[in-house]
Formats: sequence, structure tokens, C-alpha cells
Amino acid sequence: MSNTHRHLRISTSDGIPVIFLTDVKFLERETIQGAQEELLTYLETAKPTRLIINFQDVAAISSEFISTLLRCREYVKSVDGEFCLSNMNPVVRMAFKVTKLDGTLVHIFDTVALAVEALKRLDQPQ
Amino acid sequence: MTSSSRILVVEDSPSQLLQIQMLLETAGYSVTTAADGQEAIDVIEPAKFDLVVTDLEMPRLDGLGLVRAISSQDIDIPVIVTTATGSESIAAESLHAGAASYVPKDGIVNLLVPTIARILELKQAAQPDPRLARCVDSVQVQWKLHNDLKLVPSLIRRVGSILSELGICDPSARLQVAMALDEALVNAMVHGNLEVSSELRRTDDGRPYTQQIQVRQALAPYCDRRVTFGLHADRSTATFTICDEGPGFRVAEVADPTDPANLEKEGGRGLLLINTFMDKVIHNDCGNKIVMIKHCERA
Repeated sequence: MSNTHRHLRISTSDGIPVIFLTDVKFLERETIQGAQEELLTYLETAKPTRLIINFQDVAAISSEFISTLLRCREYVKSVDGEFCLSNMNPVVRMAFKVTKLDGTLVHIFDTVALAVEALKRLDQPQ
Repeated sequence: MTSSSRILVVEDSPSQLLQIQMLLETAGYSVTTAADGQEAIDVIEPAKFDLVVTDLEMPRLDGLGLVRAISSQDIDIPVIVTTATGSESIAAESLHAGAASYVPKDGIVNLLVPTIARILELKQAAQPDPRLARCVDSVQVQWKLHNDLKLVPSLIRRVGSILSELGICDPSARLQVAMALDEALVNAMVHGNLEVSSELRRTDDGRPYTQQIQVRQALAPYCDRRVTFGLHADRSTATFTICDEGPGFRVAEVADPTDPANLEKEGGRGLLLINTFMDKVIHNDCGNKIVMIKHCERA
């Protein structure tokens, strides 16, 4: 998949889109806004029903970036999709834990492979 | 910085590695080598190296991954990437990720040594004498800020440097401080001085929020207000005081963002992060001043 993004790198794993966040800190407004524009544009055009966002290189985030992620979740939910996050460092994960978002509105996995497994289980007949 | 500076060269091609090693040793540098990014990460420490020169395309961990790993761990070592023809976009991406410069592979003989010398000179100019830094006992400093959000990351970096110079807070604690300060400074500028509501972020993907900030940054009385940021730190405790000139808010009236009914709302999450990442947080009665205290372990 071609990649013209500055803040993201998009690939697929087992057919599921994986968005790798390429910035180290999502504190600066320009970074957050730039990433939000790229994320929402991708979601509007590709309309993925499964999505993983990989935080492997992300060292710090702000509450504004949490809002951006919740917006992404709304987009995926609007097409009856599911979205999850992966590979967070402990400080970033703590931000999701204390805001009680971890396990409620967003599901966070230690690795992309575990996230893929969880999303694929949703596609299996009950 | 002298030409005996220690350079880590990361390159998977033995012939290229030998060429760079000879070039740098001839210029008087002390050279250590690694065959890929992962091997580099295993040996890298600021005390051991002054600069890293890395190829971009390598097995296991490539050059871009190495740059990102160094940036994410806040390792203060400049990185120069060497790029083959056709990988200019990855070179640009590595600059964005924190690399200090890049040198095309066909220009290594002529450009690498002068580029290293220039980067090391800049590094030396930016760093205090470490012997002097060890003598710092306490720091008290205050800034008066316009409501320019671009100042926030620079200020946080400056605070990080001061804490680092004092030898307090490990990298993880410094990230926590950075996240808390970012929340508090943005609160003071956007919600305090400019009186822009965070709920506007929920409308039209946040465009009205951004627009109102831009309008009020140039509109009286909002644009005349300042944020005062004070830092008092010694070798065990850092105290951050942030004061805006807006009408303030009642902390007790901020909706609990962890209440299931409020999880998707915008307000309150920043305050929660501040309380999580700082050891003590005090608000004044009218809600336009916040004092945050972080007790720091020696790094």
C-alpha cells in the first residue's frame, strides 16, 4: 500500500489494516491536528470495519490526542466496525487506564498479533 | 568537541562499514561498529557515544527504526543517516523522527566528516559543562507566555533539560511530567485565557475549536492575557506553578470523566492526567492557578 502520510504508516496484517503512528510525542498541536486529519481522511475513504492502531514508537500523548482516537472509534463504529490499540508503553497505557477508557471504549493489546487475533475472533460464527 | 569523539557506525555492508570506519579513524574519531539497528540499540548509551552514523536499509532493525528507538527513549545522541539514491523519502521521514542530518552514500567521502564535525559542534554549543551541571543545587525560573500553543513543546523540552541537569527524574518520570505540563499549559492558554470550551472539539471533527482558538489569539481581551509558568526545583522536588488571567473555573464542578456517562465527553480528562502524573496538585479558589509537585528520584 502506498504511503503519503507524514504521521502514519498504513499496512495490513492478516487482511486487517494496521496504522503505525510515526511520531514519538503527540503533545504538540500541529502533530495532533496533522495526525487527526490523516487518520480521519483514511477512515472516510477506506471505511475499514476492522482497524488496529499501533503505538509502538509513541512515548507520550495528551488528552487531546485521546479525543482524536475516540473520534476514530466513532468513525469505525459508524460502519459497524471494531477498532483496537496496541503496543503501548506503560506511561501512555496509564493515561487510558486512569481515564477508564481501557477496556470500556477502547481495547488495548500488548502486540499487533494479539489485536489481530481478537479482531479475527469477531468474524468467526458464534 | 574534539576529533577524538566516539562515533557508533551502524552498517550491514562490511565493505561500506570498512570505508566509513577508515574515513572516520583517519579524521581522528574513535569508531565502534554495529551490523544493524538492533545491535546498535544493545550497545548504545549516551556515556559511550557522542554521535551515531547509520545506514537506512538493514536487517532486523533498520535505520529509521533505530532513529525512532533513540528518540522514544530520549537518548541524547545525534544520529546521521546515510542514504542510497531512491531512499530520499525515508531520509526525510528519519529527519522527522529525530535524525540530526543525512548524507547521501555517493557523498560519504566528501560530506560525512564535515557533517559530523558540524553536528558535534552544535551539540557541544547546546550542552552545559557537565562538571558545572553537577554543581547545580536548585533552580527557580519563571516565564510569561503569550497564548501561542507552539511555545508549549519548547517550554516542556526546556523544563526537561533543567530536570535532567539537576539529575532528577528518570526518563519515564520526565515523560509523565511532560504530559502533565502539556495538559496544564494548554488548559491555561485555551480554556483559561482564550475561554474556548473543550466541548467544541466534538463538533465537526474539532474545526470550530481550532478556529475559535485562532480568532481569540488575535482578539482583545483574550490576546492580552498571559500565562505565567514558574518552576522551582531542587535535587529532590520540582514544583510547577501555572497561572492564567482568565475568569477561572470551579474544579469541583468539572464532571468526573471516569463516570461511565461521561466517558465520551471531552472535559476533565486533562485534569485527571495531571493528578495521575504529579504527586500533589493544588488549585486556587478561583481556578486560574494550579500548583503541581513532583517528588523525584535521583535519575
